[in-house]
Amino acid sequence: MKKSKLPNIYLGVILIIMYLPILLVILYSFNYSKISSIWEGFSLRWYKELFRDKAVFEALINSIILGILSSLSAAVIGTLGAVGMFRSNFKGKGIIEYISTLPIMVPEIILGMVFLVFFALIGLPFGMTTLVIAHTAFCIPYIYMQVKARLVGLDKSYVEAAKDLGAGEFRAFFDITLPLIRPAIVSGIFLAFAMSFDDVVISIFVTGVSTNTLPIKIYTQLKTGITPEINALCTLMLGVTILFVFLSSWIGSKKTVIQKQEELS
Amino acid sequence: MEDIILQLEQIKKSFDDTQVLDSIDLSIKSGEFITLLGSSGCGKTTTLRIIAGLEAPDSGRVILEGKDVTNEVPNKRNVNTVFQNYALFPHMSVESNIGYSLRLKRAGKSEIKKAVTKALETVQLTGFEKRMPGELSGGQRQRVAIARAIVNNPKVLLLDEPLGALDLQLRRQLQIELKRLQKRLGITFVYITHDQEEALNMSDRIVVMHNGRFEQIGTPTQIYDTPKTSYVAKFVGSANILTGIVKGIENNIVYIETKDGIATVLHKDKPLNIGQKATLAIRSEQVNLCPTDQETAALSSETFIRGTVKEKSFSAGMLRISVALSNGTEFTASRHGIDSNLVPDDEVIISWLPGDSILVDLEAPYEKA
Amino acid sequence: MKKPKRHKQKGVSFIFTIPLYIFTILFVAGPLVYMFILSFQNRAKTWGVVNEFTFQNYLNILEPIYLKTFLISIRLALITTVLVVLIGYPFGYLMAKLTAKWRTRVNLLLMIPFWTSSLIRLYGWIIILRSNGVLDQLLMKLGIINAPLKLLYTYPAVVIGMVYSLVPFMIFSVYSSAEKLDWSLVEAARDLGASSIQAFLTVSLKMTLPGLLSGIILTFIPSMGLFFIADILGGNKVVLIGNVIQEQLMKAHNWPFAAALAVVLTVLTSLMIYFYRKITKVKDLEGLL
Repeated sequence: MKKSKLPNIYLGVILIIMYLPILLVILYSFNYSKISSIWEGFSLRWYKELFRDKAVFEALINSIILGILSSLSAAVIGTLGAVGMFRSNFKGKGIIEYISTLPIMVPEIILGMVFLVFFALIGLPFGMTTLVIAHTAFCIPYIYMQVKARLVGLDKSYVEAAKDLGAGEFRAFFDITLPLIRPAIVSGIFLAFAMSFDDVVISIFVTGVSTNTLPIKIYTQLKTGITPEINALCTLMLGVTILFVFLSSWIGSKKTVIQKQEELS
Repeated sequence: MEDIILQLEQIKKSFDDTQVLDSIDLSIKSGEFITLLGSSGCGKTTTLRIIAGLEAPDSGRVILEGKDVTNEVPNKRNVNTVFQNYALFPHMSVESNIGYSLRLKRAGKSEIKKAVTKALETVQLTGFEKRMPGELSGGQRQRVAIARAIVNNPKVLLLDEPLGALDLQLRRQLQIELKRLQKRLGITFVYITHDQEEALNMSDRIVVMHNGRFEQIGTPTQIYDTPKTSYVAKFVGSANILTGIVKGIENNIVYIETKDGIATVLHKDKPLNIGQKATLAIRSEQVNLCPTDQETAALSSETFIRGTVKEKSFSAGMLRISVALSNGTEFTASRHGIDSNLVPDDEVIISWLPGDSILVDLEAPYEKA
Repeated sequence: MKKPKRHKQKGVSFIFTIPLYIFTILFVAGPLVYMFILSFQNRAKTWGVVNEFTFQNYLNILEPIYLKTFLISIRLALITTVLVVLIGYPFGYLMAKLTAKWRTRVNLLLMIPFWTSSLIRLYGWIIILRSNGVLDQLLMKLGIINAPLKLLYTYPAVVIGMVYSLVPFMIFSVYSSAEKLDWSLVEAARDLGASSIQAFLTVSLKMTLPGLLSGIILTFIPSMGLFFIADILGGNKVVLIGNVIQEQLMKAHNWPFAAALAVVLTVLTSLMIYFYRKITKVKDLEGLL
């Protein structure tokens, strides 16, 4: 039976269509002309303008800080929560778990609205504070689920051995559980950071007048007036993304300690 | 009287609706090697975990060195466990693993290093300090697990089927090593296995467990030569079990009547009444078979039971012939050799000398010791 | 039975859950409850809310204009989902059939667009679809059309944008299901006499169903909320529920009404998740990640 080339053609076509918009954005970032439909020659003009644009720079810093703060807070709350839930059994356990994972199941528009009215009600200042709280809320489920999945697969005799050797609950957690769930926490943080960095909808609703995140800046520019400076920005962000993707796939291919051990037994 | 180092009093434990341990009593002497022997599900692992503190009993007490530790958490007891799958911390090196309990006690760095080196020497793994568990073979990991447990100088060491995952050769070798180690260190070993050979080879005393109860406690010789219950007789040494009615007692020989003939057994000290039900056990090596057409005048004190040959097989260097009685009970006779004239469907006479069989199930199934 | 020391141990585990507990109640449960309460209140003259209880907001939703918006949103979500299934399912399935080497490569290739900001990718579509943009120029050069198509700011443009953004989720969902497929089962079916199509329908489809269904959920629910795509690619022409909510919140400052709309939307999505769970009997959403 001759192997049909059709599947591969299909995969190829779809992949090309996926990359097309991205490639065009990159292409036109080098276009001298302000109007993207007319090509006026290769130029780095927009990159230069980008580096001079303070507002964009500020938005970038904000996004990075926001991403780091949210993903780290979510990591602490989510990891402790996952470990604690796993080992205890109190009455409200299922409900708390369900509610805490709601933020990724509910459409973003609803979350955004809900945070907006609630923060107004309790009088929080709109800006970085509200952004961090809102972002943390939707970052927690990513980390919680990853850690929980890892905990479920973890052999409980490791913790028992630690206790047998003299460790209390706290020490057993820090010395044994934590290192062994670290991969899940790290990949959860990466995922959470990416989700936070890319967030548009929720950020629009909970940000203050003076605080701009990068996605918000791009969004408003896309709606008002587009300059190719945006292309340059997008191209640079793309470069970072590609770097990240290759980095994480490289790290992922290095086997973890447990994988090695499991393979040997 | 020797020092009793560990006592279990009336331990009961249930999981969900299943009773896993039913009033366990045990006194363990200091420095002895005692084995809990039984098939899976009999409760031996649960017993171990209760001693270690990883489970709490529903009722009963655990007394270690005179102190009631029933409700103490595992990290406060001077008892260490060698887990079935070793449970070596995969992210720590061998020396980190072994030194872990000492680090918890905040011992000094040089003190820890000395203790770790000594422990590695004891299990013959000197030089393995920097290796990671993932790089070790099964036998090596097991030794590291033992080293990690003994570095603390625990009063009692619990071993949960530590040799189960290893191949036969390695198992035999490590059995000898473990026994030597225990004698040298003088630590009390509580050992779990389902392998009767292992238990008979290594232990000072054996506790045969079945359905959450102790069937019998005794030295290997006692367990093998004088099993008290049919379960112990069958589990250790694969004996044949026969039940019948006492017909008569003469010259210290008990005559037991069954549908297929008379079985004889030496009278034990417990009194027996005529007409009472009795059970005996006889090892397959001591069963004689002769074809019915060669009936010779047997001694009146010998057993005389009719049966039909079912199967012939060869296993572990012995020829095994299984014979069926009229009620379906199967008797196995084994001897050296590879063949005999008997074939399936042959009628045979089963016989043995009364001194070779033993009465079992004379008292309540569970033991206190 | 007194177990003082063991209780202390369990207590430590409970302490670990406290941050999660507090955060969840305060910042997730709280806001959602408030939204519900808000939907029954009334808007004050200029700013804020008046503490009265009223059903008026919900009654307003029944007005044709808003009902129509709900219908448009649902319709768009349905169209998007169907297209995403048609495009994404074959991709995920065929991808799983590749050799290990190619699977890793394609995976990597998919990661880059997936992790690229959705705004960047949408911008790319603007470049393509705008009047005299890339598509127009290409088609005109090929002589297929004479005048610009004016595709931007139309309904089809929004559909394209939605499908494009959501297809990766479907692909990954289907792929993770199809990857675990035991191909020898398909071979066995063929061996027993099934044609390619029959083998597919009876074996492959059934076994990749979890991936397909979770992909559908991952597509349908977000598509009810991705109003910024409609904003960017559809301008004011395409108005979805999300747009209305945003408008009511930010421009008209009618928070109670926005809350009521949001409540209805939440109920709709919850119902869908409920039925999905019933159909697949899936208790955890861990598989989605």
